This record gives sequence, structure tokens and C-alpha cells, in this order.
Amino acid sequence: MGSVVVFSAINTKVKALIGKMLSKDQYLQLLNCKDLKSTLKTLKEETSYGELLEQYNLDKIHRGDLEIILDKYYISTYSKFINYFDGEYRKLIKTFFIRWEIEDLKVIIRGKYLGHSKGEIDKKLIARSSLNTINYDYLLALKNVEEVIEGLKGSIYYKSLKNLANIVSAKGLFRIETELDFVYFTSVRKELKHLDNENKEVVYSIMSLEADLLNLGWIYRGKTFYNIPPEELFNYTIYNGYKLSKENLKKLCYVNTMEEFNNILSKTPYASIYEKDDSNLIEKREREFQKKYFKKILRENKTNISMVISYLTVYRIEIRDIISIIEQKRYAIDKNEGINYVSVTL
Amino acid sequence: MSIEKMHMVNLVGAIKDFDKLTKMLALEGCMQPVSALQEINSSDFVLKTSTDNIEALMDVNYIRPYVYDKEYDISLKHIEKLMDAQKTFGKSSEYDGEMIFNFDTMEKQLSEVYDKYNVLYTKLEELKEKEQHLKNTYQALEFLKNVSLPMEDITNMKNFEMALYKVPEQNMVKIKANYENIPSVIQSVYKEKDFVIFIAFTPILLVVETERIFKSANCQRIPVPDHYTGIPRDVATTVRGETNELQQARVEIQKQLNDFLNENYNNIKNIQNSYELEQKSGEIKKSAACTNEFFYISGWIPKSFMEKLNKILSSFDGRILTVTKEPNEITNKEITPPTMLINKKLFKPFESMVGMYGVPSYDEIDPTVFLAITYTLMFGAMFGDVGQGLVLLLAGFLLRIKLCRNNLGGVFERLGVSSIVFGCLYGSVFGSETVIPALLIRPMDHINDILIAAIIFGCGFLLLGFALGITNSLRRKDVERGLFGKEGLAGFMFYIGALILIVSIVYKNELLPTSIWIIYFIFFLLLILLKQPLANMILGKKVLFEDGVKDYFIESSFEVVETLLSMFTNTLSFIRIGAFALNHVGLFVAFSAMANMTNNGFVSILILILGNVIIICLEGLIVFIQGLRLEYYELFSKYYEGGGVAFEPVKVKLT
Repeated sequence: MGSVVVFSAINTKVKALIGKMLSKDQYLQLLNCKDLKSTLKTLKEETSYGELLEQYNLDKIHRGDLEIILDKYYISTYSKFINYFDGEYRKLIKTFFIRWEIEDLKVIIRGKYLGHSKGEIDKKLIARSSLNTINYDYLLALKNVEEVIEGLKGSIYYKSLKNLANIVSAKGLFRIETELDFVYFTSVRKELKHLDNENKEVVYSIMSLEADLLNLGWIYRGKTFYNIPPEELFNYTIYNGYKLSKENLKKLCYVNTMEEFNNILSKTPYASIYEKDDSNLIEKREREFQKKYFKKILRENKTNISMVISYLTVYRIEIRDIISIIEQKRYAIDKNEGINYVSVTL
Repeated sequence: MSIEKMHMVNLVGAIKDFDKLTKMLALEGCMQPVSALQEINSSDFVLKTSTDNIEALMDVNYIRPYVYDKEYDISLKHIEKLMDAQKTFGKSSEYDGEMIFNFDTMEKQLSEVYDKYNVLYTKLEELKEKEQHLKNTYQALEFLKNVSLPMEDITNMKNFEMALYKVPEQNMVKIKANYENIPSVIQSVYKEKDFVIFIAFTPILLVVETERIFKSANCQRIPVPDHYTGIPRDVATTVRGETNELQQARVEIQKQLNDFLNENYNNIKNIQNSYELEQKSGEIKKSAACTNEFFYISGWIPKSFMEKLNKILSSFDGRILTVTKEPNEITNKEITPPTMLINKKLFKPFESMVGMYGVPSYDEIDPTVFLAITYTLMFGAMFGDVGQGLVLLLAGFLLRIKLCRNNLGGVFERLGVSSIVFGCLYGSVFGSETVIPALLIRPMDHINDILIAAIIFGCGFLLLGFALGITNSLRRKDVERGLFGKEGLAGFMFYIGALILIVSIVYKNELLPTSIWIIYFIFFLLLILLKQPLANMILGKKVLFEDGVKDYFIESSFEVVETLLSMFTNTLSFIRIGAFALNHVGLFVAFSAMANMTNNGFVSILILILGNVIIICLEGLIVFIQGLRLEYYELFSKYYEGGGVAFEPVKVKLT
């Protein structure tokens, strides 16, 4: 009974929003467009994004700006969800939102490191909203990375970044960014304690799936491209263990060949993502995997938090796909190649 | 008692006075700004062509919106930190009114105070960290306490390095899981919130590699001072002593910091207020327009605030031009004047109840007084009781004084008084009708009289409502609604006719023959039916029916039926006043019967008290809501639209 009260309204909303998402036909229609202009026109006239694009002059808009517009649209949808919740779930949604705030924080820190101006950085930020835990204007006004980290004092990020402030360098930035990502997972994990068993299970599995995929991507790239020592690889993983057990995670860090890597993966659901050793396709398969997983949850239509989170993930993938399609069209990539970067298969 | 007259004031002056003027306006809080550029474009902003104004007039050609580009986000954060730091002092704020108008002075003063604060604060933080490190060292020594080697031997080992690290809890798990691959001996010595402190012994040859691994796990190395000698157990004592010294130093600095904040208490307050003023004046500035030489501000100022404005302007020695206009002189119809209600103190709290329905528009009659009187009367009649009224009065008083809920408290107080008065008339104290005699009537003994009185009461209110509605419509020159609408004159005449007819039937005294009555009613119903064409005929419009004849007649014939129904139901609706007066007694009778049934004196008193609490809370709430319903639905729908915008001047809240 309790969960019906909490979730029925938002789940109905989610159902309605799912109806607005791109169908496979619409994807194909977009992919079949000849150039950027016609793609944007299709997007505006044939899909639910018309509402958003109404106010812009699509002839003049810059591709990069459009990306920000789409991202901001995602965030605005996201932050409206908070109105459907109170108490623990309100906090949970806020905690999930930290993820996007972290993305912005990374942009700010990197921008400051590269010496970009306040306006330049501000233009790229997407997650300014009522859910923020940090003061954007203040951080933007600060001069360099050290000051930004000092300026985060009192926020949830300070503790992790405190001792990284003095080692700012290209490599240091990587550590700062990884630490920020960890903050997200730690915060969600902390929030779990306050949920009832059913929802705890749901949130845990969704978060862990994400962690697993990120870990795999990290280890794969670290092995194939960067030759990072196994101990470091392991230290930068999100040590969670879900479908990919903790032991296997460690084993993966210490494998010598891709064959071993695939062998370990073969007993997990993630085998399909890495089975063909073609790094270009991994991202597509990862998106497809996630889409399949979350669409299944959406079909199950349970009265718990799973609907909301799944929708937000699937919707995110859709936005990424659209951005990807727009990019392809802008740089005139052939449709047959282009489809490799989108989470649909012909 | 009414709605305050508004003036559209346009101000023009030299740009050097801009900052000062906007700040003074914000300080007085007398102006609600509107976009000056919009005003100028709509040609409401007219300067007389004369030699005095010639410069301003020439400049108008180059006009543009004023861009407010001051940036002080960092300063705001600094202020916030300072305010946070001194929040704990709770010093009574005696604001000495010293505002800093100049932006640069303000920034300078703030940075002076903040820098001094920051020096102390940083020192404090450093000491705290050192103290923490010493504490961690102590913990590590605790672990080594059974080692009987001198400390220098441990720290200067030839082939091994000892080091102390602090690591986030979740990373410690990873290190533990990977012990076999890390080339050092690790022992965790202490666990604090979210962090683990561990001690590591690493072969010197592998230090670089290990260091890298630890770094990737975000381990922070805790420096261990190397001047210690003796066995760990003794060193631990030394460290403890040093910790105490540090602690004292820290307390000292903390005291200095507090003293500094205390001394600068007013200073910081002033700076904070000055920034607040800067922000608020920014709101006015953002709606202003300017050229290189001049600025242009437009805004609404209530008539009673004009004096304040003149006082401000007089300090500029006539350097600022003003153009003042009445709302009806404004050509731009898109700008609606805001509404400021002025009511006597007695009626003031009821403004919030009007506000819940809607703010009256500028040209409407303010219904607050009417609502206040009728609502208080109705509430008292429904909830007449000396004792319970007194409770309400007290509750209102507490709400107002203790919780600063001025409006709600004020309403409660007035309702309480009304309840007491009616309590005397009904002779009821805490439900009991035996304590005092009834001055007027005992509701339960005269049920019919009470109900009929309630309806008569209601008829009176409705007639008043009609009168107000007609005046409102005519003020707005809305002929259709005012003369022929069901809330207008036609409806009014119909209603009066119906009342007279009913009275004459009741008293069996036929005033007019039936046929005349029928003609009378049909005539007014026809007026209501044909209200749009009639109104358009009077106004001389060419089109009689705005949305087509067929649609119009279907709609308006239903309206006629509705008129008949709603007049009947609206009137009967007032029966509830009487019904609740009876209900009030009835509820208490039930409780007193229960109290009588128990033979135990204590229990029966308990039941009576409980009964009174329930009556006050439950019935009080119901009566409160029913009264509101009568006001909003039966009365407001007759005469009130509430489509206005409240007057919200830009004003600084000084702390």
C-alpha cells in the first residue's frame, strides 16, 4: 500500500514519458537523413524534441551548442522528478543527481586547469539546477584548481579532494576526477541504508551494474591502450562486486592476454560486450546491453524506484544516441558506419 | 479601507547619481520597477520639450538597456563564511545604520576583514591538522608499544622504510584484498570516521612502486617527526605531551579568532547589509535603461510613498527629472498597476484571507472590510461560546506574539472576540448553558427561529454582495455583467422580487396580482437571457452576438436555469450558520451525557475537558472552513474577481 502511494504518480509519469521516446523507425529515419540540416529538421518535426528545438534557429546553431542544449534538457526533466518524492526518496534522487553535478565539477576543474575564462566554462555546464549541492557562481569566480578545491570546503567532495589539491597536473586531474566519481558511488551506497529492502535491492543492483560496466571499460582500456600496472588498475576500480565478483575483478586486473580476459568474462552476463575484440563496437554494445536490461525493468512495471531510475538511464542513452547521430551527420560519416555508434541494430 | 492609488514614476538623471538613487530607493522600499525600455517604447515616458530637458532628450536616441555587470560571487561567499563564523555569538543586533554605498569601498572593507579572519582561520586549521597527525602518530606508537628498540632505529632502518598513511575506508578494502601483490607489510592501527590509519613497512628498493600504488588508492602520508628518541612507549608519552601543547595553542588561536569576530561584529553586519543593498539595487538597475550620460528608471510607487520619494530626490538637488503619471493616463495597456491594500489595523489580518482567493485588481473594490465583518459575524454565530472563544483569543495571541504569525494570530483573536460576544448572547460557557443567562436566545430551544434568522442574515449578505458586484462592474464599465448579468442589476432585481414574493406569501398579504409578478420575473430573466445583445446595443457595437447566435442562446438559456437554481441554493446555503450553531450545542450535549453516565467525578470532568478540546479543534476547524466557503463561493463569486497583482517593492531586509 505504501509503495503505491509513493510510486504510482511518478510511474504513470514515466510511462507517459516513455511514450515520447524515439521509436526504432524514428532512429532509422534520423540515420537515413542526408545531412545535418535535414537531420535537425527531422528531429524537430518528427520527434518529441520539437518542443525543445522550437525556440532555436536550427540553421545557425552550432553542433556543440546543441549537445549542451540536449544535455540541459535531460537535466531539467531529471530535476522535475524530485517533485514527486519526499523523505528518503527525495534524498535518493538528489544523491543520484550528484553524478551530473560531478560531471560539471570536472568541467570546472579542467577548465580552470587549462586557464579557460569563466564564461567559456559556464557555457559548457549542464547541471545547474535546484538540486545542486555546490555554489556554481562562486566556484566559477575562483582563479585556479587549488582555489576551487579549497572552495569546495563544506561540500561532500572536499574530504576526497583535500590531499589532491597540491599535486595538480595532467595526471593529478585524472586522480581528482576519479575521486569525484568515487564520491558518487559512496554517496549512493550510503543512501541505500535508509531504504526498505525491496528498493535497496533495486537501487543496489542498478548501481552495481553501472559500476561493473565502468570497471570493465576501465580495465579493458587500461590493459589495451595504457599499460597501467595491475595494482593501480585495481585500486581505481569501483570495488563493489555484483555480476562480476570481487575475485574476478581482481583476476581481470592481473590478466596478461585478452583471451584470459574473455575467459573470465564468459561466465558473466557481460561476455557479449567484449567477445569481439573490436574496441570501436564496445561502447555500442555496452549501450545496447544497458538498454536491454533497463527496458526489461520498464516492462515489468513494478511499483518501486526501478521505473524512475531505469527511465533516466534509458533516456540518457537516447540523448547520447542523438548527439552521436548529429555528430555523424556533421562530419558526413556513412550511415553503415554510423550505426555502429548508436544503440540500435538494423 | 481601500486600494492605494499608484503612480507610474519615471526618473531620469545623470549616470553618476544612478547607483546612489537606486540604493536609496531599495533602502526605502517604495518602488516596484518596470522595464524602462518598454516604457519608453510605449511612449508613456514623455519628457516635455524644454531647454532644461534638452540634453536628456537628445540622449534618448542612444538608449539601451542597462547592463548590470558587477561580480561579487566570491565576496558573497566570504560574507557567508564570516556570518557563519559569528553566528554562534548571538549578540543582539544593534544595527547602527551605516551603509556603504560605494562598491569599491565595500569590496575593500570586506577584503580587509576577511583577510585578517582568514589568516587566523588558516592558522587554526593548520594546528588542527597537526594535532590530528600527532594523534595518529600516537595511535601508531600504541601499536609499536611492545617493541623495545629505540625509535631512531625504527625510523632509520637500512633496508626498510616505515610510514604512516591515512586512507578512505573503501580503499582500505581494496588494499586488503590485494595484500599479496603489494610489496609491503601493512597493519591498520586505527579507524576513524570514513578513514583508516595504517602503518606500512616497505623494502627500500620497492618504495617507489609502493608509493605509486598507495597514491592510486588516495592514501595520504602522515608525516612522523623524526626528532624522537627512545623506545616507542616513551615516545608515545612525548607525543601526548606535544599534542596537549598544540591543543593549548589551538584554544589560544580560537580565542583570538572569536575576539576578532566579536570586535568586528557590527562591521561585518554592515558589510553584509551593504552587499544585500547592492544586490537589491541591482534588481532596480536591471530594469533600467541608460545612455552614456543618463539613466532612465520606471516603476510603480503608491501615493502614500510619494513623500519618501520626494525626500530621496531632494537629496539630489533637483538633478533628477521625474515624470509622474496616474494609471489611467497610461497608454500601454499591457502594464497593469499593482495593488496595495490599505486597511485599518482591525481588518488587516483578513487581507491574507482575501489573498488566498486572489489579490484584488487595481480598479476593483477591496473586499477585505466586507469579508472581515461578515466572516467574523458568521463565525461567532456558528461558534458562540464565551469559554471556547476565550481559548481562541488566547491561541491567537500566542500565535501572534510567540510564533510571529501575525495574520493567522490576528484572525484568531478577532474570531475569538466574536465567539465570546455570541457566547454571551447564547448564554454558553464551555458548552454549559447553566452558568450565565442567555442575553438573546438559546439556540436549542428555538431551532426554527435560529434557522430562519440564518437565512435572513444570508439574504442580507447576498444583497450587499450584489450591490458590491454591480458597483465593481460599472467601475470597470462592464455593462453586460453590471446591468444584465445574473450578478448584475437584472439578477439583483429578480432576487429582490423573489424575496418580496416569498415574504408576502408567508404573511398572506398579497402585494401585487400574480400576473404582474409573472411579468416581472419573466422580464428580468429575459434581460439575463439577452444580456450580450443588449449590452452591445447600448455600447453601440455593430456585432450583437460575439460567438454566433445559436451558441449564444444555448449557453445563455442554461445560464438562466442556473440563475434560478443558484439563487435558491445560495440563499439556503446560509442555513448552515444556524445549523452549526445548533450543532455546536448538540456536540456538547453528547459529551455532557457521556460525562453524566460515568458516576466517577474525575472521569466525567476528564470527558468534559476532552469534549471541549474536540469541539474547539474539530468544530472550530469545520466552522472556519464553512465560513470561508460561504465567503468564497456564495459571496465572492457575486462581486469579486481577484485578478490583480500584489505590490512588491524592491526592499532590503536588514539583519
